[in-house]
Amino acid sequence: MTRAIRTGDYEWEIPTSFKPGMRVPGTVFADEDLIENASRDKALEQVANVAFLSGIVGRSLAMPDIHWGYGFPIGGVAAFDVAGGVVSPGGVGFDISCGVRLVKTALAAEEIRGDVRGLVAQLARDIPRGLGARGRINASEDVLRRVFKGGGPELARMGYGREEDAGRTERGGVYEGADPDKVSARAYERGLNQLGTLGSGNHFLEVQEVEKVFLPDAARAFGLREGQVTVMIHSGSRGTGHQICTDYLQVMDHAVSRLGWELPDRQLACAPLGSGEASDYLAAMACACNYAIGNRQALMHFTRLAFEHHFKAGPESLGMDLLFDVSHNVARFEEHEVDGARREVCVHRKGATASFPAGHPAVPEEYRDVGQPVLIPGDMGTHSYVLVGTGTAMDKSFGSTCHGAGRTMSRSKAKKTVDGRELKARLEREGIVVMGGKPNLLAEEAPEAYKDVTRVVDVCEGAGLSRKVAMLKPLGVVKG
Amino acid sequence: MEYHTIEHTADVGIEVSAASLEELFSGAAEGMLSIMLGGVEIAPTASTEVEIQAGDLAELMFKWLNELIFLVGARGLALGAVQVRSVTAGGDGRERGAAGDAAEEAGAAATADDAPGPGRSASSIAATVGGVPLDEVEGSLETEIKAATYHELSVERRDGAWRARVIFDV
Repeated sequence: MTRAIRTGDYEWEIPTSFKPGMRVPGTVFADEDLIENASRDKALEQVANVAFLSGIVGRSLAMPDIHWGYGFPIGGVAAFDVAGGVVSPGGVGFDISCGVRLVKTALAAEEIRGDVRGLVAQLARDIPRGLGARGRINASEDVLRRVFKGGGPELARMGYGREEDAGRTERGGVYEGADPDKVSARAYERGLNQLGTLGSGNHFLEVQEVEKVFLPDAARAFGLREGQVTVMIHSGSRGTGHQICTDYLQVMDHAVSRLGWELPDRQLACAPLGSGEASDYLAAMACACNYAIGNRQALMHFTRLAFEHHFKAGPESLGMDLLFDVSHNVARFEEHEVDGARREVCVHRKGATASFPAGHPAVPEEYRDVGQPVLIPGDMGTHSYVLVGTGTAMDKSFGSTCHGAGRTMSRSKAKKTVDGRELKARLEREGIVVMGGKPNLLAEEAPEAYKDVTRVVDVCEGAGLSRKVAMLKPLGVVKG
Repeated sequence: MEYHTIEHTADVGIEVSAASLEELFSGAAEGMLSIMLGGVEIAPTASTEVEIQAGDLAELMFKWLNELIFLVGARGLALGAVQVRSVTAGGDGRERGAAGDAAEEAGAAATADDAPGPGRSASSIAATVGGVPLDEVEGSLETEIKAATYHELSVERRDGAWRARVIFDV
């Protein structure tokens, strides 16, 4: 099989000769080590497979955190023309609108350094988390219908948060076009008890310190300063999103069969944009996006309450304002310049984050002079980052950048290589309090199982896809 | 019947081999549930019937395993007993799970790429699954499996046995 060809400092081409049937070439943003890592499993072949899909515009892309997924690679980005293109649930993922939210505080790390354990214990008690956990919100089917339509603002109206939170969320916290009637009874049932729950696996809630500011003007616009305490929440659409993806994969699989299409991977099942199947999926996907944003809104509300309870302080003095909320598993209609002309395309980001520049209409007004905040969670025990979007990302990657560190080791190998209890003790010695998560889960999520997130964000910066604004150091983390 | 897990960078998978389709589907369920529940032994106190139809055997496996994931996640059941009564392979009606060599001679191999053609009957499975409420299981769930995927999904008869490969999203 043909190898990737270096075409720039941080760009590698997957030529159409890599796999016959590719309609367009692929581009992977990476350095030598990251492309070598991607070459070891099926990740590059998955970049090639996405290029088989009808109506793909430009290239099949992958971010530096690329790794082997199912259908699309994790870190995959692909845009499809509204006329002749497709939408693919596998290009969004089972955890629809999995994403990250960053909450600022008025606290300095120095103030709380001796109290992190108590704070994390409070959060571990108050945040519903873990496998099979039930949420604190009594959600009936009627409530779910309202959340499917209303997203983050609906949770605020229900008493979980503040009205101004919506303005600091992608698309005002609501994906338009949601139709609760396109969500199956099973997806409703899976979502009833999980609204406002963290989940498990690589989801987390982390208390952090802004360790370093790289771009002072952007940091100032975002309200970040060195030494500040922040809280990062990583969670998604829970069982509702998983079920919606499962349901519509079957619908799309039948559509592919009916149309007589041959796909290199059945998980790339898709339907033509504008078809009934595609429209129904996008309407259901929007419901899942709104559920995920509502979920993170509720988790933020519980976090604010936990801080108020622990520090016996009111919201004014704690200053826990939302910085931003991003989704990294989603398909969205966006306008992009392609070959000198403006075109509407359906951009799939499967483990990739929007990275819009200053002046872009999708960036909230309060950040529009600077650009969109991009939130990159590190793996457990490592730094996370706040980045800002760039114009180069619009040229090269449909306004996209990475979403995290990306795995480099299988879960089974991680469990054999790492002892979860020793890992927790090691992190404690490094000054990071870890609560929750069984030893096997901690082992699966060990830093050794992931790429170096700093390398990933540096490659994104080198490729011009985003710029580092601030680096966040973990103080304490709650796992499910 | 035997199963083992497959290495996958982000997720997890299983490969199963069995003498019959019933054992294959039962084994796939057992393999997946052992990943979800950590191999904990469960003495069922409640059971439910599962009957599913699909196009080809691969789709049937997809729907079967995702149904079990739904029962665990939405109904809060730790499933510990899976009794597959019958599996029928979609085709001309002569292919039966228990037919063994006869099925192989009839060209019973069905991979994820087979689409049901006109005049073909649906594949189906009938099973009874039993379990206990999740909160009665010590340690509850070990691993959250979001779904069984179509990626590299295959159900085929090869080298004298039925074989399946499934990758899960965790």
